[in-house]
Amino acid sequence: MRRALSLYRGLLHVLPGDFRRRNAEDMESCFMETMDRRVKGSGWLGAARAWSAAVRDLVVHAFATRLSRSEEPRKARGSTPMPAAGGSGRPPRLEGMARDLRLAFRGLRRSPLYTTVATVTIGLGIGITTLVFSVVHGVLLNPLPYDAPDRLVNVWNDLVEEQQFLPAVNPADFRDYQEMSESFEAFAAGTGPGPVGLTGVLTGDGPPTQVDVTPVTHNFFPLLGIDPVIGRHFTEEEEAFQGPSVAIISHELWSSRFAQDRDVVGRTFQMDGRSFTVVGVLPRGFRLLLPNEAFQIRHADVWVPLQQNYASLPPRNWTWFTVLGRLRDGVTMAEAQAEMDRIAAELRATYPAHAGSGMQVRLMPLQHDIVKAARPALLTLFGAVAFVLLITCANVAHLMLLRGTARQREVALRSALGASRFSIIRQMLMESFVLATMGGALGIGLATVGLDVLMALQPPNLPRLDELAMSGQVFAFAAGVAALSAVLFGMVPAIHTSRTDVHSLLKDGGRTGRSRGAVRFRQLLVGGEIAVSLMLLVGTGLMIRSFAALQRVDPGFQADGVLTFSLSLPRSDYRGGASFAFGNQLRERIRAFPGVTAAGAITQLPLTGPGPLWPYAYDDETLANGNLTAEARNVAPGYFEAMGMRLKGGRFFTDQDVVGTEPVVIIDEMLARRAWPDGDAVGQSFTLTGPGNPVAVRVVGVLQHPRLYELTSESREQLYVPQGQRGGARNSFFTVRTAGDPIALADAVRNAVWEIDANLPVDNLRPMTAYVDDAMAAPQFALVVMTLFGGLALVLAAVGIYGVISYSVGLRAHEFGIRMALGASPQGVVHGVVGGAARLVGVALIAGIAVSVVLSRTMAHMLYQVSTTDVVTYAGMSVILFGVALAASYLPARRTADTNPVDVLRVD
Amino acid sequence: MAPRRNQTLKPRLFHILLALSDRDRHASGIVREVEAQTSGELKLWPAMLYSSIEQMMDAGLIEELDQTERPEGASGRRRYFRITADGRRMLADEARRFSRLADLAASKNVLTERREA
Repeated sequence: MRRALSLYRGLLHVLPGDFRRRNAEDMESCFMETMDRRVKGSGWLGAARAWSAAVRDLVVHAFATRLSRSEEPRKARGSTPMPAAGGSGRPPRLEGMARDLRLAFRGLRRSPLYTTVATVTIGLGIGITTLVFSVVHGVLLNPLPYDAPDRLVNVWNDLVEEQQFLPAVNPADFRDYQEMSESFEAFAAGTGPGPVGLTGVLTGDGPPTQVDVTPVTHNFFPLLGIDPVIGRHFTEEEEAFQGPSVAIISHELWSSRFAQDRDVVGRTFQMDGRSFTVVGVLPRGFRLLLPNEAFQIRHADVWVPLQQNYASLPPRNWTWFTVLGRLRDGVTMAEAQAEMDRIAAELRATYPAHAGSGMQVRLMPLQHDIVKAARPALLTLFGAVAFVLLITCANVAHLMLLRGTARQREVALRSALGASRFSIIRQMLMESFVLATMGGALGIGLATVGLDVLMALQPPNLPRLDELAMSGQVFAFAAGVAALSAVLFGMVPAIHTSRTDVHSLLKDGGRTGRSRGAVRFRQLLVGGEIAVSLMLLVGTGLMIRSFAALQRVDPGFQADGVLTFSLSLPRSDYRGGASFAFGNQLRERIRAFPGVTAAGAITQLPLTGPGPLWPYAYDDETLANGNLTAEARNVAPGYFEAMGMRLKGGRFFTDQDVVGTEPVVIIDEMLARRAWPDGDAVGQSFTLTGPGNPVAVRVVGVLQHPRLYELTSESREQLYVPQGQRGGARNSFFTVRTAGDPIALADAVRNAVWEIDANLPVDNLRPMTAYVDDAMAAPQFALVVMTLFGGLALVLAAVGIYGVISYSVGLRAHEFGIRMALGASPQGVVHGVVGGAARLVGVALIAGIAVSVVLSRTMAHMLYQVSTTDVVTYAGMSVILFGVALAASYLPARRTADTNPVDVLRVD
Repeated sequence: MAPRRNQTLKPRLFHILLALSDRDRHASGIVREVEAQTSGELKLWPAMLYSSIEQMMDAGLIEELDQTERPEGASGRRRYFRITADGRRMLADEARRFSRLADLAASKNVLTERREA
């Protein structure tokens, strides 16, 4: 019911502004009450009838009030003459418009089929256009829900030599920016929970639960312009290393865990075995929006002060802070960037690590950064629906022409009785506006429902999904589109119909002459429709080919038959080697399950984003530069086997790779090629130069490169160290390979964990294929949407060409009758008609291909291993469209050829 | 401008005045009463109702109640409407006209129920 109210509220915008402002609130409650009674009275059908009556009520009064307004614009309100049932005192022109409106309604009511088909077609077009616009508006155009969001920037560090481009900054650099920069009011930083030793396991009231926890600097929320609704911000003192355990919590956690206690400030909760004191609650609906590349940091339920130990930091090319800046008023983006370039140059001159990595600072407007990934796809989609709208307009124009032809006698009569051409055009246009208004109302309804469906589907990689809504701007857009379509589909048919003149009509019964113009116009419409449909079909075809290519990708592991789950061991309970011992024990139990062939663990799974980068060096030069890094993972024995990864040489880790034996490492083929391009990497040794002592490690295995970030591209160099030599890992993902259905193991796995430690939450219990599906979800979604649009375009184009050929064949029935009477064969007639259609379609296809070649370039970023000029796609789609078009023209041709020529000639 | 005498009223305006003749009502109340008066034949939808209300307020046939005048227990911020003296006069004129018409029709036996032969 709330949906109905917001939809009705939106529809109220068709009424004049002042009338709406005076009465909207009352009208809404009145509407809701009436709806309530109708639904109670006769259920779903009653609601549908009531909706249709309510929409009609609004449309009629929108027109009527506007008309009566324009009659006496200057007369003060309060002196309107009493409306009477008899004639009104309206001036003639407006009297005419009011009459046109009445006529339009009457005319439409008299042809319910035509009205329904036209309204539904145009409603469909406006509906999906509005739906996509609401997404474009909500995601791309709407400013971020922060204070003065256009002044917010995200700081990227480009480590050019390391090929690392991430919005991640070293803490020491973060401090230097604050000191050296003048362009910014402030910089604020946040990071993941790992660097401050947190995992986010809440204990205490109820079962242990895992929450997202994010450490931020004290000025982080003030920088965004977000104030706690209860309590306060963090203070600078609370940021001190090993400072107080305080937390600001989300509105959701405040509701779920603290039952919205107004006195929550000062209350404590247990997380990771520590007691945290609540100091503030964030406003409802606050979300931390960041680009996909954001490193470790994420939206959280628990926010803690970023207590970084600035006294002991790794080399400067280790980056894990997400840094946001707020530009000073009057400073442009370019000025700020120029200043950061100078600062980066200074840092490079001072610190060898930066000199070696070729560090550059890049500022990105936060809004652009967040939506940049979704932007091209959304704009492509928007272009696609614009085409669908064009096609629907073309089809409605067909319908109106048909109707115009049927009404030629009426029009001829009216003009014979003295109606001017202008008044005839005006009346027909009024009809298109009424149709467009009803279509618009239907479209808004469809878009509202569509938006609900969309939000329920949770389209992947679409940022700001929760913010989507049918806003005033969206309604205004829908109204604009409706008005535009009314002109698009109404103008030419109106002019054509108005051209009817009495003499020729009476002379030849409306069979020849003038109608030729209409036929040409229709051919143009159909040609355009086919060209536009081809563009959409080409788009669809390219997506299909790309998706097929995507499914053939070998990511370097086999996701089938693998169950994964994650565990976070609280620091308080698992010190020293305890976490390693726990992992061993758990894997031992799981391996004993029937069907399980391997079980292992790793700090971060593939396809879950970039992970920690470790510096390494394989010779004196790289040691001196200190500029090489690789994706580093800490794995337990059995991981590679469970994931079905393949060795290029050497061996996997075993239970013998423990503390006390020679430190070993497994690298991927990419790192092997870089360090030892000519020889076998197995047996070679190199240096891990991370914090603490440089460690010499020996390569025992070379792995076929697994794709860690996404399926479509190779990742960086990778190195894997054994947990046995690193004392285990508190946060890890376990991987279990089984012969059966992985998810069937879920309960057994959970119990195995709880038998060892009943306080551990088992998270992310899902098959590895789910991660692969996630990675495929975005292209799959785009594929589904494009296929939908392409299919719709194909159907509409087929309907269009069928209508045109039927119509023109009908016009020529007389001619065909004579021809056949004179001995022409039915096959000859069919050939002639279909041949004519084939020529039209052929020309349209060539035009469509030409435009598609240009437009499809905008899709290049969405395609994988398919060229935007892929010949197979173009040829295939052209053939499909050609075939459908010919079939659509064959039917009416066949029908004509089958009729007895005598019947045709007898009609006169 | 005062409504002219002998001017006929649109049916929906007549019914709204009639609904307000025995008590002050808010919009939903008018809708329900008009439906009851006409056995559900006349359904008022919000836009139609409010443009009628505005017309009649402009013509001085009805008026909106002040916050202080609202009936006991009136809920929320709903607006209440009352028929004015002019409105009452107009309603009575119209009703008399109907009544005269009905008398006239009766005198010509128009109203005699048709019976099946």
